[in-house]
Amino acid sequence: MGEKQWVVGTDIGGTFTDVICINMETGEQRLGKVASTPPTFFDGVINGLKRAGISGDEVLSFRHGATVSTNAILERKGVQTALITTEGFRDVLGGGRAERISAFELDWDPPEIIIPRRNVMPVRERVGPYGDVLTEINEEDVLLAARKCKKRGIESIAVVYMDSFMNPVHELRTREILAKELPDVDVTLSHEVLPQMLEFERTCTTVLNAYISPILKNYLGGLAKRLKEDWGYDGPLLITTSGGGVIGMDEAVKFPAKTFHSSPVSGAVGMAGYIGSLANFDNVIAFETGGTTNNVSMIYEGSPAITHEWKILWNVPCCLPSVDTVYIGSGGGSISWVDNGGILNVGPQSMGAVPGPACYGQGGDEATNTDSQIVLGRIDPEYFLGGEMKVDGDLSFKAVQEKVGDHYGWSVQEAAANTYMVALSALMMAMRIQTVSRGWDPREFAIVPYGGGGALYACDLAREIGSTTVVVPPLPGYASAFGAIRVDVKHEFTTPIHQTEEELNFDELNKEIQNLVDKSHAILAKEGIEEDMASVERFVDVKYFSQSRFFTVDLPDGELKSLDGIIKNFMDDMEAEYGYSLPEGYAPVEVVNLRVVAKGEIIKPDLPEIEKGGKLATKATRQVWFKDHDFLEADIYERGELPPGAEFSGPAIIEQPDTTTVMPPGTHCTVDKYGNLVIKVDQ
Amino acid sequence: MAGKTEINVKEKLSNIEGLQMDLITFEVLRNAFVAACYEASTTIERIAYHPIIGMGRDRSNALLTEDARLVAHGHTDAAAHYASFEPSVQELFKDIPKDTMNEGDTYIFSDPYRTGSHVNDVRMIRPIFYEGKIVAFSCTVIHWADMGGPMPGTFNPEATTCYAEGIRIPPIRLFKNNELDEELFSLIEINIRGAIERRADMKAQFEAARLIDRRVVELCEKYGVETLFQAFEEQFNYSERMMLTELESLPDGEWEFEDFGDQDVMAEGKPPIRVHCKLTKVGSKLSFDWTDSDPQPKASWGGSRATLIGGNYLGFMICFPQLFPLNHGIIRNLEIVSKPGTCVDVVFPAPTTGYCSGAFDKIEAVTIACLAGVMAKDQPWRVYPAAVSLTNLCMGGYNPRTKKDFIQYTWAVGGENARTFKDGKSLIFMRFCNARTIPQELEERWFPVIFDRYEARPDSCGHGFRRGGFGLIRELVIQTDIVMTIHGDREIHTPFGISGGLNGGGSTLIINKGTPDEFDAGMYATGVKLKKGDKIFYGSSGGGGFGDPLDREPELVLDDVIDEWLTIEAAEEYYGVVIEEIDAEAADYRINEEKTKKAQAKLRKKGFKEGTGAFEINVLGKDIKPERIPSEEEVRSHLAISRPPGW
Repeated sequence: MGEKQWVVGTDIGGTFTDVICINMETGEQRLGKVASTPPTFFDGVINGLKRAGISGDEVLSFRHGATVSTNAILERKGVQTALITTEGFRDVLGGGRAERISAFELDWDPPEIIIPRRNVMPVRERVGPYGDVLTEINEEDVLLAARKCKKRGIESIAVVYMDSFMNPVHELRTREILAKELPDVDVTLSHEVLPQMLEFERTCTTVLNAYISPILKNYLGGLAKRLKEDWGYDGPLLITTSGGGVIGMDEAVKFPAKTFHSSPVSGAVGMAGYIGSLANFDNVIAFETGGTTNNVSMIYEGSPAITHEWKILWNVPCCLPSVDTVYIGSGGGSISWVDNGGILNVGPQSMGAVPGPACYGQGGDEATNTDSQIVLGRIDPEYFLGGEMKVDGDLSFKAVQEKVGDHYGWSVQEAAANTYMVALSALMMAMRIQTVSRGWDPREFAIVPYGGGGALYACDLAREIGSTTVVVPPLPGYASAFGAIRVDVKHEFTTPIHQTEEELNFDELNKEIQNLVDKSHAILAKEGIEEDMASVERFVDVKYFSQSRFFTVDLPDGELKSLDGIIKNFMDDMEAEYGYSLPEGYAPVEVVNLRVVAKGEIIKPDLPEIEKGGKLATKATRQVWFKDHDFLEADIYERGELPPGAEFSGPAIIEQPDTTTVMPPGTHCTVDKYGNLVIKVDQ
Repeated sequence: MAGKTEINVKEKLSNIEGLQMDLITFEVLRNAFVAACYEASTTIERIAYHPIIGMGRDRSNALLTEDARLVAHGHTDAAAHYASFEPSVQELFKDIPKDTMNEGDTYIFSDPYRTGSHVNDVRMIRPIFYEGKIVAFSCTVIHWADMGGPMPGTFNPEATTCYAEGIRIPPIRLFKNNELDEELFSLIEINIRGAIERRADMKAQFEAARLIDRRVVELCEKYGVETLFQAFEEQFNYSERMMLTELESLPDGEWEFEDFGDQDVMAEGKPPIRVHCKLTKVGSKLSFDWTDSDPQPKASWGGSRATLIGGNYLGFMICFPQLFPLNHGIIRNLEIVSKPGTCVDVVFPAPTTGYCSGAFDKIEAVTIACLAGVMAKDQPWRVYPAAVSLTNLCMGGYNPRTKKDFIQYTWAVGGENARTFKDGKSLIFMRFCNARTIPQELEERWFPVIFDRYEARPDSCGHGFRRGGFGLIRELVIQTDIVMTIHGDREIHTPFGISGGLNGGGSTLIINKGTPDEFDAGMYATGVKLKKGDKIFYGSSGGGGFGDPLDREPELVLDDVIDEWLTIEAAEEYYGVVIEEIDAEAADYRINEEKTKKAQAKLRKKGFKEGTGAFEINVLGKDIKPERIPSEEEVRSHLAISRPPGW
C-alpha cells in the first residue's frame, strides 16, 4: 500500500456514476458503476471508488467529469444571478439573435431566459469599438445595482459591457466596487471568460458561467474535501472540459462554463479517438447512442472537430471551444409514429427511462427503437443488461404490431424492420452532413460506437456512408470515465485584435502573441506540467474585412513582419473548405483574434491487454433480421469469452451486459489484443 | 407523453396507399432535397461579403423540377424569396428555351415584374444536368445591398417608376461553362455601388448553385434519375395528401379581411392603401380572392403577382407548419385570384423596392386572418394577430476607416403576434424570414456608427388577454456625414389585434430626439442628409394582442411592470391594474386591489377606441374568435418543428 500506481477516471451521469482505475505498473483494471447520488453527487464518486477497491494514497492521478454544470442549466437549477450591463443594452441577452428554430412555427417559444429582465441592471458607461472610453463609468449606477442585488438575494453576478474585450477598464472597476459592497457574491467578467466580439454570444457565455459558478465551486470543493478526508487522496484534481481535455481545479472553478457537456466529449475524444487509433485510424466518427439521443462527433487526423458556437440549448450559446457534437433525437426510447401523409417517423419524442420502451412493462405502450430491435431478434430480452433487468419481449411485439404494423397492414417483423430503416436513415444523414459538409470523405473514417445502442447500427451505417471499419471498444458503457483518463491538459486563450492589414502594428502584435504564449506556459506550470511535456500552438483568426466568419489558421513560426504567410494559410484553408478562394488583394484582410492552444501531456494508461482466453465458441444461434437479407440464422457470442486474435464473420451477434453488437453478413471481425472488436465491412 | 394525442390524430387521418415508391428511399430523398438547399444557404452565409447575408441571412435556396415546380427550400430561408422561384424559372424559359441551355450555364435574373420581390433580390438559376439532360434547376437568391438608382441601398420611397429604383436584369447567361462572363458582368458592375463587394456576393451565390447541382448529381448516381423524378412527384403527392386530408376535416365557409398600408406618399393627400382578401373554402379547396384590393399606389409600396403568391403561401404555411417545406404539391392546391394593376399585383412601370415593408406582410397577415375562420374551431391555437413588419434603413457615405464608400442596410426586429395561449415573443424577426440580427459590435466595426441603445420599447406591445411581443428601439450616432433613407410602414396602421386585443405600437424614426434639431422622419424619409454626431432613434412596432386586456390576470400585468416591459401608467391605462411601488430596489411592487376594481370598471365602461392605429381595437379583428382557449400543454403536442439536422 501507499505505492502510487493508479490512474483513476470518474464520470457522473444522471443515472450512474462510473469509475475506472488502471494500474500503470501492472495494467490491472478495476471498475465501479454505482447509482448517482443527487444532489450531493460526490457521495456517488466515493461509493464508486470504494466499489473499485482502490484507496486514495495509491493514486497517481485523478480525472473527473461531471454533468453537474450541464444539468444545472438544463434543469434551471443554477443560483440567483444578476447581469450588470451597459445602459441601453438590457435586452441583448433576452433578444438573442432574434431567430426562430423553425420556418413557420409561431407556436414555438425559445427556452426561458436564464436571468429575468428585472435582474438585468444597466450601468451608464461605454467603451468604443477601438477600446477608447466614450462614456466614463457611472459608479452610482454600480452601487445601485449592488443594493438591488443585496435586497434581491442575488448570489452571482455577470458583468458584460459593450466592447469590453478591447478595454476592460470598466468591468474591472465594477468588480472592485462589487467586491467591497458584496464580498460574498461571485462576480464573472465577460472579458475574462470570452474576450471576443459579438455581444450576445459573450453575454450568454458569461451569464452561464455566473449561473453555475457557486454550484461548481461547492461541488468541486466538496469533492476535493471528501477525496482527502474519506479516501486519502490529496493530489491534484483534473476536470474534463467541453474542448476535449482536462484542466486544473482552480481553472474549472473560475470558468465552470468550460465544463459543459464534457461527458460525451471525453467519450468521443478520449475513448473513441483512442480506440480508433489502436486500429490505425486517425479519422473517427464517434457515435454514442443513449436512451433519448444519438451523439455524433468527429475526430479528424487525430484531433476532434471543434466549434466555437456550441449551443447548450436553442438561443443559449456557450462560445468557449467545444467539441462539435450533433445530437439526433432518436435513441433507444424514441417512438415510432405515422404522420398525416402516411409516413413513418421515429422520434424525437422519447419514452425516456420511465416508462421506457414497451418491453419494460412500466406502462409505456408506444413502439420504441428498443422494441423494434427485440422484434428483429437483435436484442435478446432474456439478456437485458446481462440478464440483470427483466423485460417482456411480448410487449415489444404487441406495441410494434399495434402502433406500426396494423396501420400499414405489415407483419410485426416488417414493421420493426421499417422502423429500423427510418432510424438508420436519420443517422446516416447526420454522419454525412458532419463529414461531407466539412469537405471530408466518409470512406476515410472508422466508426467507433459506444453507449448502450451504438453497436446495433454501426455496421449498417458504415456500409451506408462508405466506411470500411467499425471498432467496438471493450467497455462502451464506460466511455466517459475511460475518456477522462485518455485526454491531455488543454487550454485555449485568445486576444482580440480586429485590425486590417494596414492598421496593424507588427511590434505590438508580436508582443501580444508573446503574452499569450507566456500566459499559456504559466498556467501549464501551475498545473504541474513539466516543461518538456508542454506545448503551445499558435493560431490567428483571419477574414476579409466585412466577412462575418473567420478562419483559424496557423501562425507562421518566428516574429511576424508581414501578413504574407498568414494570408497564404488563409487562402489555402478557404480553398480546402469551400473548394475555391477569392483572389488575393481583392479586399483588405483583417486579423480578428490571436489564439493559442496550450497542451500539457500527462500520463495516460493504455487499454490493458486481455489475457489469452480459451477457444472461440458460440453460445447459441438464433434468427436475426439483417438489412437487405431478412431473417438469418446468426451466431451468438459472449463478448467476455472472446479470445484475442479470434476471427469470425457475420451474420453474428456479440452480447455483453452494456451493449449488443450486430454484425450483418459481409462483415468480418478480428478481436485485437485489447479486446476491441475490429470489424471490416465489405462494401 | 407530449406526442401521444398527436400520434392518435395522425393515425386516424393517415393515408399511405398513395405512396408509389419504397418508403425508405422516399424518406431519404425527401430529407436530402431540403438538406441540399440548407447546405447551400449555409455556404452563402459563410462566404458572402455583405453582413446582411453572412450575419443577417437575407438569402434563400431552392430546388425545382426540370419544368420549374418547387421541390424544397432551406430551413432558414425567406419566404419572400423562395415562394417566387416557380414564376422566376418559368419566366426564364420564356426568354431562354430549355433546349438552348448547356451544362455549366448559370443565369442571373432580377426583374420584379417577372421574378417577384424587388430588384435587390437577385436570382441565380442553374440547370442541373445529368448524363447530358436537364434533370432539375437550382435557384438561389441574395439580397444585393445596392442595385444602383439615386439612393444608396436602392430603396427609394419616393420612386414612382422602376427607373428610380436601380437596374433590372433580364435573364442573362452570366456563367458559361462555369466561367463568369466578365463583359456582361461589367455592365451590371458599372451601374451599382460597392460593385467589388457584390462580386463576392455573386460568387457565393454561384457556389451555392453549384453545390445544389453536385448534390442532385450525387443522388442521380446513387438512386438513378428515374427514382429522383419519382421522388419529386411522390413528395408533391405526399404534401398534397397531408394538406387535403387536413383541410377536408376543417369547416367550410367564406371569410374576408383587410389591412392597410400607411400611405401612398406620392399621391395627393397621401391616402392609406387597402389590402383585401376574400377566402372561400369548400371541402379541401381554398380560393383566395384579392381583386378588391386598392389600385396600385404611385409610390413604392406594392408588389407584383409573384410577390402576392409568395405572401399568400407564407400565410398558409404559418397556419399549416407541419407541411414544411413549401413545395409544388401545396402550391397547386391553392387558388389565388388577383387583378393586374392593384396594389398586390402591380404592373410595369410601378416601383417595387418597398414591397417588403409594404404589401408583403399585409398580404401574409390578411391571409392568416382569413384562415382564422378555418382554424378557429378545431385548431384554435393557429389563430394569430399581426406581427412586426420590416422597415428598411439604408445609409450610405464615405467610411473613413476603409477609405471607401459604404452601404449599410439594416432593420429593427420587433414584437411578434400574441398567441391565444401565450404572449407574443419580443425582439424577434418578422414572420417572413428566419434571419438573425447583426450584432451591434460587428456593425460598429464595419460602418461608421456607434450604437447607444438596443433595447425593448416599453409599452409598445398590442395589449390583450395575451399581449403581443415588444418592439425594439435602436439609437445610432452617426460618425461621418451620410445620406439616409427609411423605407417602412406600420407607423399609422399598426399590427392588428384580434378578439378584442389591441393593435401593437407603431414604428418610428426620429432624428436628434429631444434637441432643438428634432426631426420626425417617419417611415418614408428619402435621401435625408445627416451630419457626423447626429443621432437616429429607430423603433419597430409591437405585435398585435389577443383578447380583452381587462381579462388578463393582474399578476401577469404586475410581472410585466416589475420587469419594466410596462410602465405603471400603461398598466392602469390599458389593463386597469393599479400598481404601487413599495421598494423598487427590492423589486417590490404590489397591486392595489381596491383601486384596480374601480379602474377596471371605469375602463370597461369606457372601452377602447376602435380603429387601425396603435393601441386601438381593430373592428374586423375583434370578430375573429377561436372557439376556445387551448392550454400551453395541448399546443406543445402539436408543434411541428422543422429544423436543420444538428440545430
